[in-house]
Amino acid sequence: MIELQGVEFQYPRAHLKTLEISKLKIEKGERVFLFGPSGSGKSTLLEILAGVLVPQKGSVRILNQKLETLNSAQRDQFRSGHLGYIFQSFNLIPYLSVEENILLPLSFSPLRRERLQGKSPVSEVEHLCHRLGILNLRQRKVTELSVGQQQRVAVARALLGNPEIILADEPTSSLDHDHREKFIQLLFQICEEKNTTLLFVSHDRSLEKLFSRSLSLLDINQVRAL
Amino acid sequence: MTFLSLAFKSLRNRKFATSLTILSIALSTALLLSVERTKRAAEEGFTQAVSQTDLIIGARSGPVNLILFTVFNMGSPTANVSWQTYQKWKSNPAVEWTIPYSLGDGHRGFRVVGTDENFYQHYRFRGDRSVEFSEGHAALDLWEVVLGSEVAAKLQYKIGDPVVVAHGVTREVGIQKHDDKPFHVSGILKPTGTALDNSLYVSLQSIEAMHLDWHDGAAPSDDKHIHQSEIHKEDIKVDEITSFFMQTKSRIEILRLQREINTDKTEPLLAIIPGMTLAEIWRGLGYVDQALKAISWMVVAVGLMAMLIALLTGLNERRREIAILRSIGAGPKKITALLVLESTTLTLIGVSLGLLIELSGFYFLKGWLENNFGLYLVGAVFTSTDGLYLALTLMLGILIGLIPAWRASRLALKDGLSVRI
Repeated sequence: MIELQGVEFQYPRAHLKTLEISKLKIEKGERVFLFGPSGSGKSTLLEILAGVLVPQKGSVRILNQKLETLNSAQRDQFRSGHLGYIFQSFNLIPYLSVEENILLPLSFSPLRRERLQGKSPVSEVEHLCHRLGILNLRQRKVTELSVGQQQRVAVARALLGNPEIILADEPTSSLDHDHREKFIQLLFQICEEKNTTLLFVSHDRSLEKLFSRSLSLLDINQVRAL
Repeated sequence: MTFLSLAFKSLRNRKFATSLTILSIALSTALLLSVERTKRAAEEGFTQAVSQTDLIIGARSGPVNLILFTVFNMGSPTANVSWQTYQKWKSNPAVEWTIPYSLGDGHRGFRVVGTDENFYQHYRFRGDRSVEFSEGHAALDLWEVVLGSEVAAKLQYKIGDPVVVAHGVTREVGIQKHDDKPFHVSGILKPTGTALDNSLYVSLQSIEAMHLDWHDGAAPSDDKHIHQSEIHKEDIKVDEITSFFMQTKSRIEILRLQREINTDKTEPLLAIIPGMTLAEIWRGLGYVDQALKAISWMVVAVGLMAMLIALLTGLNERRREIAILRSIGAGPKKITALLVLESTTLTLIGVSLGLLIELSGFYFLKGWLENNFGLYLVGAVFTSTDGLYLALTLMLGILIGLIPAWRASRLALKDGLSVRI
């Protein structure tokens, strides 16, 4: 599903490499916790997986597609079709309603539209919101929502049109402890229903126990953070 | 959720900055168009200060001088036209009508024109506008005077008021006054927005009558003085006039008649075609119009700069938004397109609003502009020049919008999905 081989990445004008990963493999349907303290290259790795950054060396293979063989427009297209991304915070576009935020990926991805298989986007949003417990918030302004509610909206947006992979960048860091566990459980349930692969990145080791597999970026990344 | 509505909702989210930007573009566009419209009105007003007159004829001087003192009350004639010569041209079979003008006297800074009934009947300006009375009637009797609207307003004269004409056009009080022969106001003209408003009109005979007892340009001594009541219009012989207006029976006669008058050996005269001379003078004044236009283009530039600043400052706050759009698959090109769409929308609305402001502004202020500035909005409401200016402003707006768009795509590439501000 996700396969990295001999990947090396260095930011332009930086003195040192940020990332050097000889091998990383994630199978379909896996729910992987990736631990990394700040500065260990978590965000860099996620952006490489999302095809926003391209490593100088090595191969990134997602769904059997080598990202380095695509041009930037094709990578954008690939990302919109196959990946759902959940941010740490500020996940939503403030001037759109909850429903409009969730529907947004469809306007960039024909593939996600196709996967709805003729179901109306609005009814699919309704279904997702129902599962996430935000059914009655759909017409609200996102600025009126609590942080926890906003993260659920972000999950709904990431999942609409069934992308194969969800990348989550510390989505629980602004939630309190009780809500964190509940949020992750809910995310698991939905990913399981849809057979979605989940890569969950966090610096908070206390969440590790919830996942079937846990990796530490400190072990994978051969570049040592100073 | 289309791309267009995304751009629209983003703009709506920044209502305040957006409306200020639109307003600044609208106002600068309105100014640009207003300057153009005013220039058009001024040009039409100037070049049609006299119309339907084919030739203006005076003693030989220069065309500019001749038109300035006949039509604009400016400068003074150098010599006169004899009555016989005037009669000769007046009776020419090609001539439809003539209006004689006799100048040289004034009243408190305003010029007194000696003329005849043809002036009231045939004088035209701005196309087919004729001389009309707001009250009273033409000054055809010896001691009657008609006032231009401005004269009546400034001096607050009413029908029947006495008017003493001074020898020579002077400000305040004339050095030598014809105070032994006062006139009485017989009529007041409607405002015309031309130099007609600033003159007083009497009959040709009145001018002669005032000077009847004068000799060699000097006032009479008491023993030579002739009393007003002893003078009768029928007895007065007009010796000379200053100039005259002429309309020919057919347009094709104009050039032939002009040449004939200019080359006539009996008395050296100058005949000019007023429209041509007026257009020539206007072209000479073109730099004023150029300066105005330059200033309004600068205002347009400032308006567009305001948009540039608003978009650029807004950009920093929108880096999160851009990262989110990137995460769901919007490439830097789409981000660029989004911002270009925004600036284009802003400019388009701004320019349209500017046009609306200009059109409605002139529509509602028409009367006020005419009364207070003598600015008559003749001519087309919208011309191809206006269209060109609108298109140019729109194009400039789109071009300037490329700057924040380019910067947004740079930021999008730099930030990726994780914005650290």
